[in-house]
Amino acid sequence: MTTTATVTNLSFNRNGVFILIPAYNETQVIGKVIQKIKEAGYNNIVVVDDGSSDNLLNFLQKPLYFLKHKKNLGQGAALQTGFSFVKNLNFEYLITFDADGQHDPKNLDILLHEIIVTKADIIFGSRFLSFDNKLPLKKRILLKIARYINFLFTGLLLSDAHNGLRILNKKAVNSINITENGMAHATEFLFEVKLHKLTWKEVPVIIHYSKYSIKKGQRISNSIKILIDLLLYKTSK
Amino acid sequence: MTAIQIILLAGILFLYGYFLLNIRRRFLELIFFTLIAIGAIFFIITPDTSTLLAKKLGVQRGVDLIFYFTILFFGYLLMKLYLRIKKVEQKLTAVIREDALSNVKYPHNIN
Repeated sequence: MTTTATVTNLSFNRNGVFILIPAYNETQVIGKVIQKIKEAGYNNIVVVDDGSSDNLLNFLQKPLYFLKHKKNLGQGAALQTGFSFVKNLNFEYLITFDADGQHDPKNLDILLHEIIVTKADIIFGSRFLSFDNKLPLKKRILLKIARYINFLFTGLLLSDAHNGLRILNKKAVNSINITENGMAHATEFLFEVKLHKLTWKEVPVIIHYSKYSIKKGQRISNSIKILIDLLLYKTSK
Repeated sequence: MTAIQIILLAGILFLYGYFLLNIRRRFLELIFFTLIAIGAIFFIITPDTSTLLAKKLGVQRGVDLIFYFTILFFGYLLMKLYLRIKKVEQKLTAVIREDALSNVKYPHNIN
């Protein structure tokens, strides 16, 4: 598979793009996820194992970069570990990608194209802007509520802040510092964007829901915990 | 002195004594909790004072007033506890992260 792509007369090199995958007990699907990413032409893959109870490394398609948390800390912590690592590498862009198979690798070129054309610091993927993403109704309602809660806290109105699919340029990776280990990190991301005056945009992305990914996804009780974390995050800053 | 006053005084003195044994040079906290203990002892010995104060603040009974302030106080303690836990979590995260960054498996030496 070639490592360059041409989209709307723009040619870009995928060699400078790193894919960051935080993973926790994803042995069932992660092998396939990485295989599809490589088939899409992206070979710089960084997996951060967030204290999985199984030997995740055995299920990964090499070569890639692999880091492991000795204890489970949360997706926010895994992302920040990935950021801290990638800062020392020769990269142009970093894409955060979920390990559960929800994110379609076709999105990678979409994100890369968008960040090059718009010159934004961050491009957020959104499930709501277009494409017929068949979200379960409960999740749709929850995410809509989350949208306005995020706006209340951060002043940024995204259609989908809790989508793990994002592309960041070097400036964004070097600026952002995630301290929320749990899922509230998605909102903290927006705080960081505002704090460092990073430019951003949203693009529609393709998401695939499966029984597996829905089971692993956030529950309503998690959402309440995120809200409490957010309220207390504000008081601790 | 009534039985309940004796029990409450004993409780306050026990808590304060336990606190003193574990204070570890946090002087501001020492002053703060000493004032709380003195206030508690004062209201236990002179319960009518709390009723007088309560009426001035628009509360019917002294014990209700003390209850409201106790809730505030516990809210403060919970907040302190949360911040303490957050600090510990951050330290733990830093240690685990440093370990992960020191043991990276690179593409050329991964099996």
